[in-house]
Amino acid sequence: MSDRRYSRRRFLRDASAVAATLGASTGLSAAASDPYGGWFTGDARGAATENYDGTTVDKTGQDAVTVQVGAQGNGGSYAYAPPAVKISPGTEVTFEWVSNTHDIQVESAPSGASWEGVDTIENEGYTHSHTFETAGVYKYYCTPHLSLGMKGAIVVGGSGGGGGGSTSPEWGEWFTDSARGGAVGNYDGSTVDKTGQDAVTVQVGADGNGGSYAYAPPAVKISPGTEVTFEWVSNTHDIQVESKPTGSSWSGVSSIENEGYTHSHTFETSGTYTYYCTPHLSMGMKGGIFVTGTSAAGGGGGGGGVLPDLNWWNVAWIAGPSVVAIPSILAYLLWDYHRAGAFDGLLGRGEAGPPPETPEAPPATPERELGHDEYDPWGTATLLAVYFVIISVAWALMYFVEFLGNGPHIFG
Amino acid sequence: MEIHRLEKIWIAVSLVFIVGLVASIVYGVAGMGVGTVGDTGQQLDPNALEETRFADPGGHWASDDHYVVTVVARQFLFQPGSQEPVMVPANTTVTLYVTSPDVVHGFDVVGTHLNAMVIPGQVTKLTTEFDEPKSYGIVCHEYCGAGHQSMAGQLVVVPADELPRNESGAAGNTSGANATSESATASADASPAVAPPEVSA
Amino acid sequence: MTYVDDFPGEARVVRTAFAVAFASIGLGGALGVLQALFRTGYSRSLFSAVDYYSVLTAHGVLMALVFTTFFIVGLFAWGVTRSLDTGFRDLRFTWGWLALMTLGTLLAFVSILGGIVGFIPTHAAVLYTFYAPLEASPTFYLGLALLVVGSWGAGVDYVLTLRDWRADNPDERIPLQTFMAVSTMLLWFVCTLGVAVEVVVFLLPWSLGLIPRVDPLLTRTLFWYFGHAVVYFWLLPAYFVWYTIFPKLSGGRLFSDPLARVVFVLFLVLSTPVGVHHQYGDPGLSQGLKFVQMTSTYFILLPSLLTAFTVVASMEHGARQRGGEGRFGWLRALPWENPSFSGIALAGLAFAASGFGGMVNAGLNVNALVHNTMWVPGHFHLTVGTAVALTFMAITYWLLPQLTGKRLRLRTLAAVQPYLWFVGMVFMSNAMHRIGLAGVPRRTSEPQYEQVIFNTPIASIGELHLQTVGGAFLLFASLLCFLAVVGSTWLGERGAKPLAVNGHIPSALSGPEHSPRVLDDFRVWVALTVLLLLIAYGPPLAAMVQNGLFAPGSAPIPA
Repeated sequence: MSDRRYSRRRFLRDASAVAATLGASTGLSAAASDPYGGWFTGDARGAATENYDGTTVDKTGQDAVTVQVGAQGNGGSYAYAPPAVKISPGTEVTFEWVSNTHDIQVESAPSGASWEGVDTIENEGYTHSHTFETAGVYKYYCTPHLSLGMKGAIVVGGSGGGGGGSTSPEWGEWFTDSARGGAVGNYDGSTVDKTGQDAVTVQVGADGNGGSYAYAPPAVKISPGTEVTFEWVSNTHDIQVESKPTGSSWSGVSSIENEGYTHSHTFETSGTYTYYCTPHLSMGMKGGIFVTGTSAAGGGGGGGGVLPDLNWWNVAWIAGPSVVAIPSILAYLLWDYHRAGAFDGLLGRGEAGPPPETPEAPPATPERELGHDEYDPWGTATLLAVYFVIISVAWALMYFVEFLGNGPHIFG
Repeated sequence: MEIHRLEKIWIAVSLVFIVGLVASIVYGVAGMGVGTVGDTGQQLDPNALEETRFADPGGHWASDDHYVVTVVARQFLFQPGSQEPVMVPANTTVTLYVTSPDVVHGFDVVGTHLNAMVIPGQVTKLTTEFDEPKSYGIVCHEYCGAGHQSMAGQLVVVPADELPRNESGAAGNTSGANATSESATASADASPAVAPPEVSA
Repeated sequence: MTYVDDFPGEARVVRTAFAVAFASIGLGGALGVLQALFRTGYSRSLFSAVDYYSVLTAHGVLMALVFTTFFIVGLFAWGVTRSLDTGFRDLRFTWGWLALMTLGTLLAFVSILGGIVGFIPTHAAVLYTFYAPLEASPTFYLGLALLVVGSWGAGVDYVLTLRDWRADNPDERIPLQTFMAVSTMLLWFVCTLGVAVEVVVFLLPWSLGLIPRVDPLLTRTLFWYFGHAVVYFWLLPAYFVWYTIFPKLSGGRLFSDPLARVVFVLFLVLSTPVGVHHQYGDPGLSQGLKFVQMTSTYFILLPSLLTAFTVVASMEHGARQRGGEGRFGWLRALPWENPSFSGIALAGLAFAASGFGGMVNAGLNVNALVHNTMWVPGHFHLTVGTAVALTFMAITYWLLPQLTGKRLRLRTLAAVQPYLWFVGMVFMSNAMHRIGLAGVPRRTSEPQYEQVIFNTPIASIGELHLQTVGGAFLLFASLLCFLAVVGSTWLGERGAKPLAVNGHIPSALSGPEHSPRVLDDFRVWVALTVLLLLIAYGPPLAAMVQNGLFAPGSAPIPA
């Protein structure tokens, strides 16, 4: 289904996730970065939710939030968008149907919550609003498309912003105004996934934050060894590195530069890099680059596809005997050929003449010859008579007793 | 052409057997009225179901002793059937009309002989009668896409008086009025309680 | 002289066709085991419930379209050239059609693989019946079309070779093997017309976006016009082996050549006008049409019943010539240790059992008991999966040495293989039939539903699932044995030792001179076939087309 659009970058992301899971971390990182307890994976009801990338869109502080029902995703129009969103208590969430035949079944909600979802199947254009008061995690799904991964979650935060656990494990509070500088208006909560790409570009001074005061994209995820080119598209910006993983040599661009200037750096060290623009920090001109390779949320939410679902024990009991059996069989065959002389003179065999003719076995002579007039197939006749009785009885039982005798039938 | 005597006997036995098979089927069809899905002659545009009797799927009383249910089979549920069961009265003639707006589906009431295909653009008509109140499962048994394995539903047979008879508006388990949209096509199925066998001689 | 010495070029063609066939059944068989494990719930970790459908499509296409067609064209190429004692007119043409078939196969297979592997941008999780409006990538349809068109080339080769031979031998009756090959290929020409039109006129342009909608009922009907006759395209080559080679393997002679010809003519005429019995549950087709085609379907039981008599009588003749005596005791005199013999005998037994299932499937109303349940795969694993596949494997043990000039190796493994297959199939098919009667659906990756309970009268679903998986593993083990024998023989040294088999086939007890000459006049039979087709399919197709070729139409829904 979605696997037909299973791109290489997803493969690499999932591969790194598997490597991460099998490698250093014992799965703790997965738990720490998954506040939904596996809801979006294939271990919970329904299939893995492909359009959940591990991040929760932060819409705290907004008065009205919209979730699209039946957006593109999961191999068709089978997605809630965004799948995971965090809101403040008292926010009204409007669910807008953008395609047909979906509902909202509430899987779990905090105690005391009154939300009942939408129990009927509705079509494009339908809307449902609910003001979420009770703090906690609400999980929901779409009945006909649960098996495809159409699931969603809403986190209603405690008091204030940043009270509970961070919803952006990579960035912390960086993009909010709790960190240095203003809130980043052009950060919508999602990290653009550019893993697997050879070259990535970040525009410096793109439109945003009330002027041309934005890094675009503000948050991006790349693979180690990717060269990122920062292109100035307006005047007077720089790149000050706020934080970076130990061992990284990146130092940004400390001088103010203008449109047309470019700066490239190949990011090798895995981890989170945050940076900002000196004159526009207070407007919210901040950015972040996350280099994969360490245990992180990136792979936690993923599911589906070929590799991540592997249950290694199950594979082992098929692969194990095969791994033993196949070489053994090959070894036996090779020994058999050698014994038969198949390899004799193999290397020395040059142009041979025409292939040797192979004599056949002589035709068998029957012990007793029966001609046309001497043979009556009585054995055959008897066997077929028995067969005839068997299938007649079987038919009678099947048709008259099993079928006609039981209903209900189609009358016609 | 020369055929051995024993083989001639076998050919004769085989022909009698084959005729016997055909005769059993004829008995079932003509004698007991047990047939299969036929051609309703109705076709519709699968993209415009809202203009047909399937605009508001559900069950209603077409006449005193004839209950009609319209079912839409789509990826990946039955409407009604999956979210809410199909409710039908016992000891009454029931006609199910099924269609699909998307792909080919199957409609199989497990434990009964109600087994048919649902093809976009065509209307599947199943006429039957249930003897006693009981619950059945419905499965889609024709591959219809990625979510096919979850496409199932329920059919519940209840005593006839448990299904309210309304002249207009909601009836039984429908989610809206469909009596008016029935009027154009209801005349064909309202009169005979059981359609006569369409077997050609 | 061995066949490979007499016809080296043709032998190479046959070997190549067989090689593709064996690779196909090997891979298809492995996929089958994975499917069995998945469906029953034993192991669902290698791929997802959605990927299952791509796996199922691959299994169906590889087993039912690729393995069968390639083996058949190879088998018939051997049979025609051997029985007419002449090679093909132009081997370049022969290699051409074989190459086209192989190209089509690769295209179709890669298209299906794209559904599971991300970097191949195709998808074809549409199963081997590819019903619209579910849509596969255009390369899938193109691949299948090339496979079919390539196989037409095989038919052309046989017909032209026969025509040349008839010019040189005007008064002689057509040798039986060629008669059978040509009548089967004529059947193939007639029935593939339906699926060729479906794919080339409708589905391929539709998947390319050239036409916006197709009528699902029309395309489905065109498929089943082909879909039933194709099982006879598979069965008739098995009958070819049962009639012309099996008697000799039993130690005897074919009981009746004329009846064999009659049987094949009956199949040619009756195979295609019965396709609607796969559509008993379809709306849009009248009960009257279904009733008429039901009657023809029951009559097609006749040539198989005739075959039962003639083939068993030939087997009995061989047994008695080997010294067997008594009403049933002659069975013990048969060469059960010869895998070519035992495979065919067991295949025939399985086919006799499957006949009962066929009778139920053909019944207009009783079909509702089993339609689209697991009963259907139970039935066809007995028919194409045993009667045909086991026959093909068994005769390979006899043919391969003659095609390669290499003696058969790993003989003990070969002797065991047919029994292993038969036992495995008995378990698996039996279990499938029984859960099918309980209503468990086919073609689904997870037949476990919250809302539905399946009641099996004896033995629980769990036990039946265990039998299914156990049977599947036995079958796979048997397949591995077969491939080991074939591989080992193929890699042996040519001409090192004389073969243990010979290609001599004794004449029939009742020869073709005892049958009317009109049997050999294919024009008559093809004309009759066309007439019956017009009667059987003319009215319904005309009715569907009357509303519009593409109406009521559906846009593609990719799968």
